[in-house]
Amino acid sequence: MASLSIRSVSKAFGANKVLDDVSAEIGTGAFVTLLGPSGCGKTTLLRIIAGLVEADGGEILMDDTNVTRLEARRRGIGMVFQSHALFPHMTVLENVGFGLRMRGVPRQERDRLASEALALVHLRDFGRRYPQQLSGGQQQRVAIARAVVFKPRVLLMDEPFGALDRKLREALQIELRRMTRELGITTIFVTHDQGEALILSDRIALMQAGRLVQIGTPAEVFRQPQTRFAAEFMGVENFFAAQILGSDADGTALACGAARLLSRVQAKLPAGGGIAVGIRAEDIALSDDAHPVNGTSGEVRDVVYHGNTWTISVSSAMGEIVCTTQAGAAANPPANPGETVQLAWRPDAVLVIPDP
Amino acid sequence: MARFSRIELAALIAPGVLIVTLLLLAPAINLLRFSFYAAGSTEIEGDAGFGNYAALLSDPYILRIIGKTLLISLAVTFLCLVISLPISNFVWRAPSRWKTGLMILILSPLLVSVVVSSFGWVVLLGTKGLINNLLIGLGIIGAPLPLLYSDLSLILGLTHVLLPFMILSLVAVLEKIDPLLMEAAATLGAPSHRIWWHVQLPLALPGIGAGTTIVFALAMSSYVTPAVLGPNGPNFITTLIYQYFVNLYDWGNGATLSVVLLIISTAVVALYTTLLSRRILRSTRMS
Repeated sequence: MASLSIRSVSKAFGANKVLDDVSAEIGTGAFVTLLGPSGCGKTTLLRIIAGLVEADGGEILMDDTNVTRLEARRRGIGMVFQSHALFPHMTVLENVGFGLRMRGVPRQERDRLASEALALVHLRDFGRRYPQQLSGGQQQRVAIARAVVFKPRVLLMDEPFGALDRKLREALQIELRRMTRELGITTIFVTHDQGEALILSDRIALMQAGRLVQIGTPAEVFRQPQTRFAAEFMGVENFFAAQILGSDADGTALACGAARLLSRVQAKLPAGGGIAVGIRAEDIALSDDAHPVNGTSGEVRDVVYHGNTWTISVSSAMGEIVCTTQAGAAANPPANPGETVQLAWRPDAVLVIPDP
Repeated sequence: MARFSRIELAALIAPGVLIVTLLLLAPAINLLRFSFYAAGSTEIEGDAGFGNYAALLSDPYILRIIGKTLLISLAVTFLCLVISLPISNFVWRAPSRWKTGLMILILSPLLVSVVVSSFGWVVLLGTKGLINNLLIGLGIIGAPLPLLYSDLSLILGLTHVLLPFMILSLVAVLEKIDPLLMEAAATLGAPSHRIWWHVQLPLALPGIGAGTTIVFALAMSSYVTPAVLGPNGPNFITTLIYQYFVNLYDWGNGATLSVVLLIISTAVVALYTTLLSRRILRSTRMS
């Protein structure tokens, strides 16, 4: 187990700048997710930490030791790849024992430790099989066992569940979360799936176009996105340009065209400044109150049934607004196109985005 | 995929079976028949039974040539493998825009007739050849070395001609290996020579098996190179067969030797592939 420092790491492939001055501190035993859309540089950063790609600039430190120039094999990392990369010519037990074998652990000890690691991922009886004889989920669990069996200082995972179906993915996420907490292993996990990042992480590092946009706990990144991109990526649908009217300990008063909004968030910006606000669709409700604290009215454009929920698009004075309501057992839509409805939301649903 | 009935399938493979039977199997059976005929100067005279086999296989001169043919073929196979391993590795790791050019370069020995490329070695290795002239010119040796018409020139010539088959087999199998496996091995602590030994080599085994089998079979049955580059006189089983058939007009013994060559090659290849496929099966086992 080790702490990890990423200091001003940059990387370009030809003219294509993949990583631009990325820095982050990752504490011992933390589970950090590198989250971002494809092409944002998250996999490259992971490969630089692994030592499989050389950075153009910057440093990687493990427990305050500079490993930037160290070969991958000397870094003491465990890595899990999306395509699991198990050795097809070795049994499951030999695959898991490979890292120990490279470290000169004698055969018997190796097999014992490998069996223990397999037990950890619930595959104790699969040691004598070959990887091709296992299902996709089992193969990925073997890959995880192979990466943790030699007690790596850092565990790196590159979209390990990306190729699996949703149910299996969710089961493995829960299992991985339990295992990494149990082992107390420092883990860096790459994904483009915000749901997966929220479930697994102690902290989420959100990346966009080679830069680290925001790093924080899942709740922070979810409730207080710092940029428009972060908010969009974390599932905020509605955005409005707004002006700060005033801010105090209770929150911030905002003007959005003719509408007045109240947010629980304290904007650390002077009055009169232009910012963006974001409101999640599921935080907006249809209301009977004609004059709610936060709200607007408009004409329903479209109503879509999703099973659990209804999505309603409303054309209002503030602009196009999307809201989601729970469907419950009701078969009838909560509103019909052409109808005029009143929308309302609570002050703590209004996310103030300082950097639009 | 379209499904065919048994009759349709039989009709589809019939032309192929017919061609193979007429052009390959029938002459082979005929050859086998000849091998039981007594040695004659001008025509086939009567049944010798296994007499030809007994006589030839108890003749130390013949046995020595058979043994030498085996040894030289094994040496050529081994040499081809040793040379091909680094070359195929280089081609595999080369940027893809280089690959077409490299493949043409590797195939180039096959674009020239074996006769021509064998005579190329004559130019290089002869008493007044390039190498001897160079060594004498540099004052390293006084008199020319007997490089040509030796086992050495034979092995060099065969290796040159057969190398492409080995390299192609290896490149084909390496291209199928997932490069992530090498990276996974590196992250697990393996230095590059152990990655090669524990991962790349076992996964390349099917290609090594195919390549060595092809090269060995082709070396055993090669005629032009031993005739042009080998020591004078019958030095290889094929040149010996030629001598019986053409110079001595002795079809009985010529056919017998041909059958012996066929049996030895088939036996070696069969034994080898059986041993190898056990290992390969392990590495490509499917559920």
